[in-house]
Amino acid sequence: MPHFELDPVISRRSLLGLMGAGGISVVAAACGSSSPKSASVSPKSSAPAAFDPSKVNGTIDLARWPVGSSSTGTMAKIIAGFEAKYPGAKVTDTVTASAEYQSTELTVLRNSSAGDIFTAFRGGQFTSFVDAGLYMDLSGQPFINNFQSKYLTSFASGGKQLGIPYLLLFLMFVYNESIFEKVGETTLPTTWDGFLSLCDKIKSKGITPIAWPGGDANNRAQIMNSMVMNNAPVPDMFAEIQTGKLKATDAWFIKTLKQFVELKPYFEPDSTGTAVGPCLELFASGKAAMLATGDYDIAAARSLGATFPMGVVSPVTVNSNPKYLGVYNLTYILGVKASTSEPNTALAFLDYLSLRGPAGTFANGEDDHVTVKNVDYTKRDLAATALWLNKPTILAPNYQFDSVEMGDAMIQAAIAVVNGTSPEAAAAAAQKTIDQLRAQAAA
Amino acid sequence: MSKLTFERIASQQRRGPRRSSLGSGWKLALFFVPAVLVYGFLVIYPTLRAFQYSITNWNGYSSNYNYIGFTNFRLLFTEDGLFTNALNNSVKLMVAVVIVETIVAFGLAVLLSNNIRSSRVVRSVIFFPAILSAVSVAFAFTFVYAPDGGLLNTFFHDIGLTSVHLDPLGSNRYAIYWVAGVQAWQYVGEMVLLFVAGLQQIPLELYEAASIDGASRLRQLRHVTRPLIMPTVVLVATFTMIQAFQAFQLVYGLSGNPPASNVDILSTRILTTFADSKLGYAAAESIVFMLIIGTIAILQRRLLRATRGAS
Repeated sequence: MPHFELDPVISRRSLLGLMGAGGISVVAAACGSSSPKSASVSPKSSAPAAFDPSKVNGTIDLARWPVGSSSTGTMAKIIAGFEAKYPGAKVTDTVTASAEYQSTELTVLRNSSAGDIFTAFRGGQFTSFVDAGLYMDLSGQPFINNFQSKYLTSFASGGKQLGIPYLLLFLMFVYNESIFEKVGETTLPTTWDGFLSLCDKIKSKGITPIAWPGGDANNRAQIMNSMVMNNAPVPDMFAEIQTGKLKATDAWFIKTLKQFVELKPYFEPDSTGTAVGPCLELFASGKAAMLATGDYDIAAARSLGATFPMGVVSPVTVNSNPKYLGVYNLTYILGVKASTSEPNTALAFLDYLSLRGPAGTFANGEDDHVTVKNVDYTKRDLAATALWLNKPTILAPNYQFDSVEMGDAMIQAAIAVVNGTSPEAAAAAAQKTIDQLRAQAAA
Repeated sequence: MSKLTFERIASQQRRGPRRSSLGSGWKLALFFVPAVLVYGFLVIYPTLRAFQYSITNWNGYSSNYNYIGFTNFRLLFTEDGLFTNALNNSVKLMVAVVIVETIVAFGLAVLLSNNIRSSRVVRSVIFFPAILSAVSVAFAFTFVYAPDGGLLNTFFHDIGLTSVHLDPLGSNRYAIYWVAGVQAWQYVGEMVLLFVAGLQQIPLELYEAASIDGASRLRQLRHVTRPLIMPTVVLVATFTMIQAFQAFQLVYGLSGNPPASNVDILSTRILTTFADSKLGYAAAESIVFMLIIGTIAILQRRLLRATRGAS
C-alpha cells in the first residue's frame, strides 16, 4: 500500500474543526450578544430637548444601506454641507449592503457604538429595533414639522416619535410609456378587465407585457402589493394573516391567486426562475412593456440605456370602485440611537436632512422621492411619478409582516400557481406554513 | 562504529529524544495555550452557547427569554415544512455533487495525472474556478441560467436545438440539481488535484508488474488503481459532502434571502430564521446541522480506516 503524504484521515481535532465550521451560524448566533439577559441599550424615558446649534461639535456615525444610483456620492455631498455649516462636527458614513443590513444590523447597533443615526426598513426590522429599545424619542423636535405628517404616524408608539421615514417609493409596475402609446393606451387602466385588455394589446405586438422577476428574493413579492390591495377586505390584510384573523385560504386570496393564473400568459417565459437582472434587460431594451418591481428600478433601467419615458402603474384587480390605484412604501426610517454619546450632533444632522435643500439633493441624487415637504424634483423621472403622491394609494401591504418567512409564504403561493399548482392547493400550503411559523413564534 | 556507541544510540532511541533546555513538559504546553484560547473562544464557547440558546425562545435582542426545553427541536422535526424541505434539498444537493464531482474529477485526474506541461496547464485551468468567490460565481450563473436570453438557452439555440428551453432555477423538481451543477463546476478542479496526488502516490512498479503479467489498461485500472485510490475517493467524497452542505454563498447568490423553496438548503434556512429574529429556533437548526456534518465526518473516518485496511 502506498504511503500518503497527503494524509486523508480527518483527525479528531479536524473533526472538531469541521463541526465548528459546520456550525458557523451557531458562532454567529452565539456571538450575537454576550448575554440575552443583559440588554445593553435602554431607551431614554423622556424626549430630549431640541438640539443646541451652538454645541454641534461631536463626531457621529451614520449607519445605512445604499439606495438609489449614486452609492455614496450624494450622501457625501450632504455630509460636506453639514460639516461646513457646523465646523466642529464630523459624520462618518457607514454603508452596509442591504441584505446584510437587514440580517445583522440589529446586532451591530446593540453591541457597538456604531450608528448614532441609523436607518431601518419598514416592517420586521423597524419593529425589532423598537423592541430592542434602540430609538430616542424625537417628539417635540422642531424638525419634525419639516416632514409631511401623514407619513409619520406609522412610526410613532405610545406618544413617542421613534422613527422618521425619509424615502417614499412607489412599489408599482414601471411601464414604458412609448409602448403604451403605440398600442393606443393613453390613460392608465383602472379595472381588471382594462388591465388584461392592455396586456393583450401589448402581446399582440410581439412584446412581453410584464417582466416579473419571480426568481428574485428581493423583488418577486412586490407584485403582491398591487394584487391584494383591492381584493382584501381590510387594508392591513397581511397583519391580520400574521395574527390569524385572516387566512391565506380565504376567498379573497384565492381570487388573487386565480388572477395570477390569468396574468401568467403575459409574463416572460419561465418567469418564476428569472432574476431581476434579466428582467431589467428585457424592460430597458423595449422587449417588455412593464417591469413588476417598483420605481426604484427606473434609474437602473436608465443605466442600461433606456431612453423612453417611464411611469408607474398598478394592476387594479376589481372592475368597479377600486379603493386604491397604486402602492407606496415608506423606508429609510431615520432614528437616533438612544444610547448615543453625541445626541446634540445627531439631532442636528437629522435637522439638516429635513431641510428642503439637502432633502432635494438626496432625492434628485438618488432618484427617490422623500417625505420632506416642498422638495423640488428636478429629475425627469421623479417629476413624472410625483403625481402619484396625490392619488389613492395604499401603504405597501407586504411590509405588514414582521416575519420575512410569512411574507415569502404568500408569494410562494403565487409562484406555485404560475407553475401549475391549483390556487386552492397553493393557498392551503401557504396557510400551513404560516400556521407553523405562528407556532414557532408562540413557543 | 563500536558496539558501545551503537548501544548508546539504541538506548537513546528507546528513551525518545533528549529533552531540550526548555525543560519540563508544562513549559512546552504553554505553546498550546494561544491556540487553545482562540479555539475555545471562537468554536467551543459559541457552540456551547448555541446549545443553551437552542432550548430558549430568545428572539436575539430582548432582555428576557424563557427556557422551553426541547420544543424547538420537536417543532423542527414535526411541524416545520420549511426545515424539512431544506433538509431534503440539502441531501439532494449533496448526493448530486458527490456523484458528479467524484466521477468527473477522477476521470479528469486519470487523464491528467502525468506531469507533462500540457497536463499541468489544463489542471491549472480546471482549478481556476475554485479560487473565485462563490458569490461571484452565483452572480455569473444567474445570467447563464436566465430562461430568457441566458447563456445556456442561447447555447442550445445556437447549436440548432431550438426546441430546448430550460428554466433551471424555476423548476420545482430540478432546480437544486442545477445548483449542484454550479457547485461541481466550481470545485471539480480541487478534487482533480487531490486525485492526481493520490494517483501519483501509487508506485509505478505495480503497473509494470501488472503489465508484465499481461494486464490490460482497464484491468490495471480495476485491480491496481481502484483499490489504492480508495482512500482518496473517500476523502474527496467527504470534502464534497461537507462543501455541498455548506453551499450557502452559492444559494444565497443565486436566489437571495429567503431563497426560493426549491433551492433552500439548511445553511440558508438558518440565516433566514436568524434574520427573522428567532435566534433560539435558529440555534436549534444549527445544532441539527452541526450534528449532521459531524456524523458525516465520523463516518468518513471509519470508512477510510476500512478502505485502508482493505487496500
